[in-house]
Amino acid sequence: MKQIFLAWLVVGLVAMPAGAETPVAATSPAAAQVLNVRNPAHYAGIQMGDVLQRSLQVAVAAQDQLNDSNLPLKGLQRHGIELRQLAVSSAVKDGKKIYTLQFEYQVFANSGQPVQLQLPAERVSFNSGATVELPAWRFWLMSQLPDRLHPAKPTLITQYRPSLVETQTTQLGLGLSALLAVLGGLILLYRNADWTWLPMMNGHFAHAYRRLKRLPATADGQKQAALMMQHAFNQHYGQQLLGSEVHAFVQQQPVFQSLESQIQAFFAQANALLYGGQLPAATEYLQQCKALARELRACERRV
Amino acid sequence: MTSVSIATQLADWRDHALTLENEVKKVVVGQDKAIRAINIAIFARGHVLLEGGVGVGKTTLLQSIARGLGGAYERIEGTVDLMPNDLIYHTFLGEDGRPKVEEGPLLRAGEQLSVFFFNEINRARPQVHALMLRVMAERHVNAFKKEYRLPHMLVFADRNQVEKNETFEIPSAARDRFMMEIPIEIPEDRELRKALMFDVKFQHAERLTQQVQGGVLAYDQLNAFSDVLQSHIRASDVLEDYALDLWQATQSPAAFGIQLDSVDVNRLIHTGASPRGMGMLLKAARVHAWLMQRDSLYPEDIHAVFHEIIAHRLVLNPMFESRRTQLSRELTNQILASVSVPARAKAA
Repeated sequence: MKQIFLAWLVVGLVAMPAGAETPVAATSPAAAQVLNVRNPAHYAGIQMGDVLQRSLQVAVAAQDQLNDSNLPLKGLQRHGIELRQLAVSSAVKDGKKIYTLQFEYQVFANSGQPVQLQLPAERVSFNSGATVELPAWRFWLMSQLPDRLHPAKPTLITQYRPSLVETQTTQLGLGLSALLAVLGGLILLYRNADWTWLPMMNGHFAHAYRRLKRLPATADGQKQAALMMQHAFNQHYGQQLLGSEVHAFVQQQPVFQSLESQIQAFFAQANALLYGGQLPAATEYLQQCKALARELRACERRV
Repeated sequence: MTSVSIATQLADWRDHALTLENEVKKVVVGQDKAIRAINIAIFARGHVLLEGGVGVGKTTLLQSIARGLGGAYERIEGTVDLMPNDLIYHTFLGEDGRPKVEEGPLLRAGEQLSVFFFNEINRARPQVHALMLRVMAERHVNAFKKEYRLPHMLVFADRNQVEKNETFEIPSAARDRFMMEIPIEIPEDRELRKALMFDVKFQHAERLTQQVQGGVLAYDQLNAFSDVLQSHIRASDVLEDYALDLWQATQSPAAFGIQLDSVDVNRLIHTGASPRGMGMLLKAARVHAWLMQRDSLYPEDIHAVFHEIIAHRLVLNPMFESRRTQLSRELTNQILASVSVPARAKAA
């Protein structure tokens, strides 16, 4: 018994490599002889879109010919495997004709899990009636996709805005700075501008009054005040206005008529100051000039 | 001299000056401005050129002034054949039939001469003008181997601006020696004109001038008092700036924006006022300030005498000479109207 088992094992072991090779069946060995079969090098890890090639080399009699009409057509799909290309070549060697058939397949099957597929068995026939069958060749399709496809939307993670940097303090500082800048600008404008572009601000006495406000209460300041007022009168009169011409001035410009006596008084004082060298109290004189300028400005504006 | 005595002196002389004015105004009507100007010239010790038409009262005015001023009054008529020696001497046959030489009108009164009236000066030749210029400037003349001093003499000349035949235009140098050129115009006032026509007292000029109180002023003290007056009246720096602007405006009126309707001012002026003219302007202005009872100059004082002192000093380009009187008056008016206190630089 033991001998029988060992003999069976030996036979089995010897037969295994032959089984591992693709068994190619030649129905009429005398007529067609399979010389070589070559399958893809890898049977696992195949993915959709991969191109698999296998070839078959057959020797037939020199006068025999391959029956092309029985060959599978290019583009033929079988269980997700498409015949992409079929190339046939032949050569004569040692009185025999050797055909080489090159099959090129592309995988279009898809699965969520590894699945075993096969390159289909191909049958090659010759005019002499001899046939050769290329058996199917199995391989594992290893999909990269998950097994169950779901819509992407439920799996989306909401994209939140990045948290904002704290800018309140900076904004407050910026706003304060802008406010101060605007305030400073307005003060500078108030101090230095002529305002002549504003309505009712470009009168000669309005101009004089703005300048009077900036004068220091000094001897020079009061002299400047008298000159400014004098200049404003000159501008209104169109020429040098003298103290003796005040009546003619108010006759010419009746809006100032109500202030005739004050204008007379101003000229008397201004003449004493400018030409007589009599200096009144500076602060008081400047106040008088400003008060008169305000009144003249009001007349000038006709308010 | 103390300040009190100076003040008294100023006040007394002012009273005399105003009295003279009032006396003359009694007999010469409608010429108040001219009378005031002559009064100022007397106290500023300046010679006066009167300009006006025929029969407007120039001679009567001068005779009245001369009577009030006191001193001697001499007169000569300008004619085309008048020679300088006619002012110095004249020759005649004496009662004994022998030729005699006597001092002419310029020398006759000697130092008592207070007014020398040269009637129609523009009819005299330039040689006569030259002599007068020298006498007016130096107030002395050499004749008969001696020097005649005329320290109190004021020359009043007149020229007829209407007639141009047989006249010799007074050169600018001669005009500049006259402190003032005073226009004597016919009064505008209708009542005054009526009085001049119908009031018989104005028909007799000699009788009229006799009504003026004589010797109102002590003519021989005027030079000394004038010096006191001139040194007493002050001018501030503001007024000095103003006067300088006025002077500059006589030289470059366009720079002050002065324009005349009928002429281009850039071509009008050949030479502006001279330093002597500006000096006389301030001198006369001080007298005006004194008459107004002030001891400092105001622009009003300059305005009061500006036309009379500056207009005849302006040297116009020859093409405008024929219209000198009108254009120079117009220009001085414009200068006073355009140049103002404060000075332009300070007003800006």
